[in-house]
Amino acid sequence: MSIEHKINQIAIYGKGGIGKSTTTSNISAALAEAGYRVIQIGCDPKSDSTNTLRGGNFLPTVLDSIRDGEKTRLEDISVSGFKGVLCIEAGGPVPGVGCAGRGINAAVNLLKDLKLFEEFKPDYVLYDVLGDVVCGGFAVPIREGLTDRVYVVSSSDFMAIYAANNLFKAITKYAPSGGAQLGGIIANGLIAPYAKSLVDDFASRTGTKVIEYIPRSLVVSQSELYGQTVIEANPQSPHADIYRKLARTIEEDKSTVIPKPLNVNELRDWAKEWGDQILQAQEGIVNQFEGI
Amino acid sequence: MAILKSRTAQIREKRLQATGAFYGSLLSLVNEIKSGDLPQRIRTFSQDTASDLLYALKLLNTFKNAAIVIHGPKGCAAAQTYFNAMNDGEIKWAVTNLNERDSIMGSDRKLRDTILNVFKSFEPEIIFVITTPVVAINNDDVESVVEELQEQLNIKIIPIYTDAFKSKIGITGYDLAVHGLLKSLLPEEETDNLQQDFINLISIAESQDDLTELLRILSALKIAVNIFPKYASVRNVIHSKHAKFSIAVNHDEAFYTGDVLQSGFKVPYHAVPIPVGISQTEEWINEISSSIGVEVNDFIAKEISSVKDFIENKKSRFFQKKIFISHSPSYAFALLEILTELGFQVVGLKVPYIDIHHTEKLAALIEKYGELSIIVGEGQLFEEINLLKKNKPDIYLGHTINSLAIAGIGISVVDVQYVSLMGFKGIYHLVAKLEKVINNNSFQKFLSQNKPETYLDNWLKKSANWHIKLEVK
Repeated sequence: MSIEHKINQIAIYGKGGIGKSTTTSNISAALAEAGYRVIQIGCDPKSDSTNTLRGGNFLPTVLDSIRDGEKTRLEDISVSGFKGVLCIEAGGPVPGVGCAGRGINAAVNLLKDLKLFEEFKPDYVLYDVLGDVVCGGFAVPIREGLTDRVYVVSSSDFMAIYAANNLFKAITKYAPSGGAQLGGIIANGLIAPYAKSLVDDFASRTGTKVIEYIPRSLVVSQSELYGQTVIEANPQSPHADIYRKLARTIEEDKSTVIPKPLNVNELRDWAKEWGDQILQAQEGIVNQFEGI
Repeated sequence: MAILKSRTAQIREKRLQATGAFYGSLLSLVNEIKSGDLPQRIRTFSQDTASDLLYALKLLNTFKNAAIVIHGPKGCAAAQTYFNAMNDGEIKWAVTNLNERDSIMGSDRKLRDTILNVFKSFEPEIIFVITTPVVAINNDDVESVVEELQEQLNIKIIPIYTDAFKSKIGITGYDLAVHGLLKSLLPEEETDNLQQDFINLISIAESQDDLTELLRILSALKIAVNIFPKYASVRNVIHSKHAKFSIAVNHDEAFYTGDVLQSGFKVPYHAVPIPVGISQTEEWINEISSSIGVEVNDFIAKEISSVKDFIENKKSRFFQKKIFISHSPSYAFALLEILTELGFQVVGLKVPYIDIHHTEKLAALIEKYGELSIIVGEGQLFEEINLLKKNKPDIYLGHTINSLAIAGIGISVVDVQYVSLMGFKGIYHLVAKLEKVINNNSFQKFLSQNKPETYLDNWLKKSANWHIKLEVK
């Protein structure tokens, strides 16, 4: 590997419980399956981002090592998972104490000090980040040029869209000073007939694009119960192919944009418009609502 | 006991509409206050100023049989070194020495260890845990550690929630310290208090010399006095709820304590002017003597007669000398009247803050001093030097750390930080200090000829309020 070896550093955000870690782990698995060296870093105090990549094996978090105060080695805080994906969890304080955001910052700094990238020489580094960007600490992966691209995982639920819009605000804030730009939206857990149209419309209003649509599926739930990614547990399933296609898009399409987040009123009005349309559709009023 | 139910005291900006940024005439200040809402201004350039943490330390450092735990990074404890020197190193204290790891993981373990160490090493009767900005920003849990160790060690451990940033008025720190002290030591629910034959003298920032003079005066009234919270013990605080009434030395600082005792424990609080200067000292004594039904006219008359003779003899020494006063509000207003009586021409005032408690006094002063310039702000050397260069007083009378820099511009400085101005004796002390600088100002002359200017000319050409702006929201 040459010195100029390009590391693709990607941050994946999204509202809590939206399927961010599942999606990220499956992208990591698909990239590893395609022969790439991949690191996945969970940036969430819950430290469960890489569970399905490492079969539930115990992994001390980066902040556990900081807490212990002893000299930390890379092998103490990382474990090799499915197809060699290097799994790392930033971790955080116990719930209700300390400052998790500052913890993410400290963990990322420690990984730099440990020369993680020089040692492992990855092709892809995926940061799986708590999605609501509640403070500056959680914006660390998109600040200061740490990552090249950000993807946001969102369903068609308003609160997920709201979180995505907030993330767009953070990207817009940091992009001019060298922060990461948006690669696109990953629409996940789609069930409702209007879901795809709704997410598409949000993307279009904010000057972004949807790079993949992942419908809700029992395959995902079943794989997780086995403690594995879909790629590992159900490699022949159509869902595994969706994740592979998503990984290929990330691999091939490196285009990014600075999104145009909606302001509070615009977001409210937009949501209300959709609320009205869904109601009309349920009541059987026929109009030019193409998604249904 | 509504006030003490809350975790800590409300900041002075909210409670008393206090402001720490203003420049103009006394008249314009009064007009703003009269309009009903003293506008909050901001400084676009601000110099160092004392925070609430420092004021809380100043008060609690004098508490007897106490130890202090400063809960924060070691830098936050730097101010404590000043009090160590003041109290000959008698104060028992420690700092939790928080680092980055503690700011992420929470600081409760270090707090617990530090309190245990302090208890083991010093065996205090009471431990104050004084919080710092890091703990406040993280909103770290202090209560559960305090509760747990209080039970385990069977001593009082009192959290004082200073944060050094929520209020720009430093003496909010006194209120925070008093709140913690009274909340922990007085009963939660109102009780039937057996009134005893003594009064509370609420002292927050007075020196031992100040209290000696006040006790000399009070001895003429033959009334027992419970002085607290300064130089007090746990017993003084607990005892306070049985007093006939409370009286402040300095209402600006003591009001919060008086108010808690009055509203929560039915101990009446008598608000009187600070006993600085002849008339205010007389008013202060009369308030106490009439409340307890003791006649002290002879004593007062004798004291006043001596002081007035003394002043009469000194007047010619000070006639038409220009003087600038920098002190806390009640002191500054009292000094304004004393110095005028002594023959001085007062050319400006600087006070660290103003709040609604000063409305009445200011309104009384404007008839005579309406056009007098006043700077409101703690520290802020640039504003002070700027105004002094324009007003050119002969003497600067101050109670601030700015004194040295001001001596450097050739103005004779009377630093009254360690001079007791209380009561009748205070007038003798004040006059002695003033005479000293009038007799010999060669130190200031030497400094002004040999010390480079603190500020460049183009800075000094600006008005003194150049950096004080109304906040646009």
